Amino acid sequence: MENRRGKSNRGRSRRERGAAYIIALALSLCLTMLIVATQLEVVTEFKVSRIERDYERALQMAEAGANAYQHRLTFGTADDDPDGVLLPPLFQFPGGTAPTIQEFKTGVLNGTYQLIRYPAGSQQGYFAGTIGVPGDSARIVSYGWSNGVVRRVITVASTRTAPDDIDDDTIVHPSGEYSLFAYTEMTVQNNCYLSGGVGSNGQINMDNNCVVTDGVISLSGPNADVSLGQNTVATVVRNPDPVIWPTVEQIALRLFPEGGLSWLATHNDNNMATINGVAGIPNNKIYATNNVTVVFRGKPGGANYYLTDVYFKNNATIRFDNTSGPVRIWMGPVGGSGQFYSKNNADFVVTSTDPANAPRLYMATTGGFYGKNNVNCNFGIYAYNEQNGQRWGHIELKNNMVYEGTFIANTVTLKNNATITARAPYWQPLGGAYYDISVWEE
Amino acid sequence: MRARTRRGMTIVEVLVAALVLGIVAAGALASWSLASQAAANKRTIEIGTAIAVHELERLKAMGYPYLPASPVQSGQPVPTVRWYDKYGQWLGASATTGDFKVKSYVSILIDRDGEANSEDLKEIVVEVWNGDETRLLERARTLLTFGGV
Repeated sequence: MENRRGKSNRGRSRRERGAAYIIALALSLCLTMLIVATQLEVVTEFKVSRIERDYERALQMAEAGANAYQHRLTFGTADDDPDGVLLPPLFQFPGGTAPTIQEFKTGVLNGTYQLIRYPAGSQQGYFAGTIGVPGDSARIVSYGWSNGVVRRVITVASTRTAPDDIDDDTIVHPSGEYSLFAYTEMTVQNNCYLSGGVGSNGQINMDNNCVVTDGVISLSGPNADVSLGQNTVATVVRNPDPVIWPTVEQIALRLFPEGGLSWLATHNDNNMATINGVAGIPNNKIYATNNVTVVFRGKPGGANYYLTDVYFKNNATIRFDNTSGPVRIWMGPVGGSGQFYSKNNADFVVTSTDPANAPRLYMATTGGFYGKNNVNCNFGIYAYNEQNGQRWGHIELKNNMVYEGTFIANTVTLKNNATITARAPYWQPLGGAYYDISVWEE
Repeated sequence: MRARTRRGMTIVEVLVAALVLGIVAAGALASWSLASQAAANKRTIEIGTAIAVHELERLKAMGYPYLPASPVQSGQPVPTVRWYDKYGQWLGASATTGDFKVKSYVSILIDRDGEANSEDLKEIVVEVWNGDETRLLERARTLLTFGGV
């Protein structure tokens, strides 16, 4: 019994030996797990808290970027921001679409998009650009970044009349008045005389006895350059930013918000015009040859004519009866192939030289304006268009042309005794106003 | 003799086990205390962030033309100070103390012609401190331009 009992006690004590350790270790394990879980929870909570803080900061950065970009669009570069520390460079998102937030984050990490760090050296900042070319309005997309958290703000800014302190500052808006502006390229050759400002955001080539007086050649933006050839006389100035012009479609939409040129195609004053005394313009087209007289009449507030193709030739007379109001001729549709062609002694007559009633031709078509052979013209031509990065609009004057007015186009060619004298500024670039952000969305 | 040895071992076991448990329990208590403190800190930071956003939006809502640059004394901008309670409520213009002290600065970062006008690019900086201004909880900033957001 004793032996049996002794064996039994020994066996039980062997089984019990270390039980306290095991219980203590088990309890320790439980407590350790509790500690770890608590700490993990604390870390997670702090992480969430930081993300929330960065989320708020990223929005402020995005809005700061939108404002900085709008400031740059309105006022250009600044002397006290020479390295672009605050003002972003002008940028258009390729393809007319802004990247998603994820695409943008990837782009920042692989160097496609360079953040402007604000404040300098911090882990927060912004990047901004526009969808399309800024015109009467600008669609600004701005991304804010804070420690890897990104938010995107899309704003729409429209041009407004500038307050006095902006208007009066010639440093900010150096564009001045233009007799001639070619957005992309201008060629002037053989005895051409230009009175007033000449400008381009692209290449100007002048050669062989061409003169610019009462104005300078303004080269605007990084792509602008000039080549002055034989016996050319001109003063050249350079501006850091391109001059921004609205497109014909944008101007039309501002004047006719019901639908711009498309609306104007069916809501115009074509019946006020006469061709050899007969009212109306059949099919919105004019083919006037051999002493035909076409009269465009103005009216208070402006008469708007919509044409798709125009051809004047051989002593045709185009009379702008603009005593009672301005005359506007719109060539559409946008991107259509129609052209305005005048040659061989076609004569443009203006009944009033009041600048407020000046006749204006707006060309949204790709066909361009052509004046050849002894044509005298007294009005402004606006042929600048852009869609998805593609620009068009051409003016070509050749052989003894005498024009008075303002001529704005994507490309311009003047040859052989063309004379342009700038008149009251028919159009001012958008730099004369300021951008006002009216739409905000995230 | 054998039984006495066995009994002694058990006491040592219990003591060691108690020691281990004690250490772990102390850690757990410290951890609990830290977690409680962290929760309070987190709340403070969150309220600080919320107050900073509130102040920034309030200043932006005043509008660019009505937001002059902060006065400068001895080369340093003088901030506007406002006080908030622990729930993030503004304590009123007459308050001189509170749980959160908010200092706001408006400065002109780009001045194109040496005149205060519509061509300036302005900056708003909002700092949220604890009541005795020993700890900066949040510093928020943004840019303002004429016609901007």
